This record gives sequence, structure tokens and C-alpha cells, in this order.
Amino acid sequence: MIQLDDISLAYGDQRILDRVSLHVAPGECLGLLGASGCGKSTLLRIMTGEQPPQSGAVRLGDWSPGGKVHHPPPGLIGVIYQNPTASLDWLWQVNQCLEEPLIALGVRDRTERQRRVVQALHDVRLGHVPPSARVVSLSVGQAQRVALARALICTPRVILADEPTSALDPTTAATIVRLLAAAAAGGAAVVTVSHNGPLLASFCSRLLLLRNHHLEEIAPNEVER
Amino acid sequence: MNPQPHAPLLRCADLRVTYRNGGRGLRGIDFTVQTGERVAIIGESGCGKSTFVRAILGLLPGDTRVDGSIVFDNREIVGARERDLQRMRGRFVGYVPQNPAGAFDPLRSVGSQVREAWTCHGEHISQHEVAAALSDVGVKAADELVHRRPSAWSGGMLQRAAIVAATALQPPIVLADEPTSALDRPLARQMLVTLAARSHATVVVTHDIDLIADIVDRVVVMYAGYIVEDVPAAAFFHGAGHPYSRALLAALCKPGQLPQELPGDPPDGRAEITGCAFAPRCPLRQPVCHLTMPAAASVRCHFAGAPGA
Repeated sequence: MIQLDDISLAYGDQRILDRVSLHVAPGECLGLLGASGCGKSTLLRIMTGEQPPQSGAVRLGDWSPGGKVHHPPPGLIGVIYQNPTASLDWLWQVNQCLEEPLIALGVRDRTERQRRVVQALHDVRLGHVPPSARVVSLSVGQAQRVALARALICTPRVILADEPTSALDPTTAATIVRLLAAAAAGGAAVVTVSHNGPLLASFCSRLLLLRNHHLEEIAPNEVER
Repeated sequence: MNPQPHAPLLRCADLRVTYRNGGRGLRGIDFTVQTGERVAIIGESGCGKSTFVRAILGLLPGDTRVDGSIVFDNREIVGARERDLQRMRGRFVGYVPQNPAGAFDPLRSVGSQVREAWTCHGEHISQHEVAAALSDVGVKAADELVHRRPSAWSGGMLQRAAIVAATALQPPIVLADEPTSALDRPLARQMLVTLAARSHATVVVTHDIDLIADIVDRVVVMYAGYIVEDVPAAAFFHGAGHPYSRALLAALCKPGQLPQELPGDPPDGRAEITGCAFAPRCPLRQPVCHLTMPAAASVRCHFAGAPGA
């Protein structure tokens, strides 16, 4: 589903990625670890096409960033960005945030959209938040779950999650982890970036560590606490 | 000026916060901090942890209703004038924000902003001394970095700068609101150790429960605007009493095993709660739990300590 071949990238003289290759199959749950600033988020941005690599090929399903169609087709990728409060518009209502991807996907029926919004909020344990609440009135942890609901609402075939639980307490994080695992069980290719080794090891089938511009595979019991 | 020995440094009594939209941030909090204590506050997102910290700092929005009392070093904070609050922040209570990148002005050098922690209270400090203070907490090449804007700093380095600013005047108490959520785990731990070493009493809001086990003396668990458990750290990690605390511990991740979820939703912030706030989600609930709130105690549960609990 996700194919990166020989990706290289440098910012000025600062090398970030050196001939990195990565294949993720549908239904696979991949965990990506690495120290702060090593290029984990950059790798995700290469997959979404936000950051073109200097060399190498990127392919998600039958879409390639930088090709004729620059933006990924609606419903292909669901992204959860690292900073939840910056990735959502503060003045929007929660239901606007969640309906927008559905509209892009072509769901015309308003009641159907609203039904899916309510379901998506329930899935991320925000059933108690009114859909008309504005993003600015949410806590950081709640905003992070709205961002997750937004990413999952179109049941995308590729899910890219950058620190999806950084602002969450353990029980809420457990819900998120189970949602990502369920999305993979439903056939999506899931890539999760986190500092939290034990968290990734709990649900990912494969763990990769980005170190010295390369990816190396690590065993779940090797993750540092 | 210095608090009496054994007199609590900070005492909150029946603290209630109601937002303009009717949402209840806090529903009656009793809480004390002694000199030198290190306290962790944990709980679900939206349970009122940040509201609590902001209430103590007097940083809640102006149209928020605050009832009860917060006495800090014999001064009442609830209803105090903004001028007095400003004098207090930094000198008597330090604050480390959740998102260091958002706490600094992106257009000014980090050094000049950290320096303000001294100069806004009329203390003189040279740029060189600021750089030295930053080096002390592990900022590399601080002499050069102080002249750079936040964009040239990494998240971990900025968080260290925020810690230096919060502890600049050595306030007797420092409040930190999720100071490590943007950092990787070894760095997060280092940061908590640095913070504990630089402040006398620390109150840290965190989700990284497993990182704090040996750093704090006391763990306070909040749920839906209440404190449901307030016990020494050792007691918490060797057998938390409240069912919610146990759910938190059960949700910690282990390799190859999906963490335990907590079913159900927290109560709506606007709802009136008569019984125990946790009852609808509690595995141990009995009819009495829906009717009366358990009395305030170190573990606020009708059945804590009961056999099989």
C-alpha cells in the first residue's frame, strides 16, 4: 500500500534521510521510533506529498505525490498531525471539522454526514462533546481526538499518525491505540510515529527505528522505556 | 515572607470553577502542598487538571466564576487584584507551560524572553548570566543560541529554557502543565529530574505516569473536576485504591499486548453530579454510588479497601 524506494533528503548540509526504503502492506501496523528531530515526521510528510524528497520514489496505492494529481485523492490518506491545536481551525465547530472530509469524498446526504459525525465522535470517546462545540473550547487531548476522528471518518486506506497520543492520559491513549489497531484489521496500512516505544510495541506488528538517516528493524522487547 | 515550617505552602479549599458556558472545570477541590513536596496530578484529558493549575495562577478567562479559596503563603488568590497576581507569578509561583513552542514569541530571541523572568520583577541580569543558567540545565552552545529565535531551538531545548524562566527567581513552588508531552521519553525523564532539582515544591500535571514513579512524593488523581485519590507515590504504584486509578495503571502499555480500555464517557461538564462521578464507568459500582458522593478522603470511593476491591 505504501511504497517508498531509495528516499534521500537533506536540509542544506543537514542530511535527514539517506536512501531509505519502506514498504507497508494493507492491514499492516507499522511503528516508527526515533529521537526528537531525527526525521520521523519528515518521513510522514514525504508520504503525504507535503515534502518532496530529493531523490527516490513514493507511491501510495496507485497515487504518487508530485505526479499529475498533486493532492492525494479524497479518502486515500488520513493524517493525524503532531500538534492537534495547530492542525484544526480554532474557530470551527467540531462537526465542521468532521464533515469537511466527507464533503470532499462526495457524501451529499446531510443526515448521513451527521450520522457519521456522531458515530466518529463516539468512537474516539467524545460522545459527551456536542458537535456544535468550537475547537477553541476543547482541551488539547479532546482536540487530538477530534483530529483523529477527522482522519478516520472516511475509512482511509492509509493512516499516518504523528504522535497521536502525546496529549492523552493512559486510558484515552488505550482507546486510540485500539482504534488504530482496528483500522489496520479493517485493511488499512497504518504508520504511527511516536517517542513512546512501549505504546508502539503494544499494537504494531513491526517496529522501525530511524537512526543515523537509516531505518532499522527492532524487536518489541528492545524498546527502551 | 517564608512560610512557617509545617504550614502548607499552598492550600485550596472547596475550589469550584464554572466557565461562562456553564461547564464545570472543578467541582470542589481540597488540596495542599507542603514546602519541598513533589506532587503529580494525573487524570483523563478534560478532567480539570489544567483548569486547576490556571486557577492557582489566576490565569483563567475573566468571565470564569471561581468559588472557594486558594491560599498561597497566607495570601488569598481567589478575587485578588491582577497587579498582585502579576507580582506573585514568577516570584512565588513559577509556571512551565505545556507547549514550549507556543509559549515563546517567535519573533524575539529566546535569551531576551528568558531574561524577562528576572527583569519584569526588577532584578538585573546580564545576557551572559542567562546563557550560563541555560547551560546549567543542559542547553548546548547556549552563548550563541540565546541570540536566536525559537525557530532555531528544538522542542527539548525550548522546554529547558521555559524551566529556567519558571525557576528564575527560585519561587517556593513551580507548577508544570504537561511539561513533557512534546518530548521523547529519555528526554522527558531528564526534564522532570531537572525541574525537580531546580524547584523547592513542584506540582506537575502529566500523562507519563510510568516516568514519574520515582520522581514524585505524592500522586493526585483527578476525575471530572474532583480529586478521587491523593496518596503517597509508593502507595499509588503498589496498589492504587480508587477504581479509576487502577484503570489508569491497567492502561499502561506493554509490548505485544493491547492496553486495557476504560469503557464509557466522562460526565458532561455541564451535568449536575449527585453520586460518585465515576460510578457510570466503575466496575465496582453499587446502587449507593449513584446516590451519594463518597466523603472526601485520600481515596474517594465507597468501596475502596473493601474485600475484592
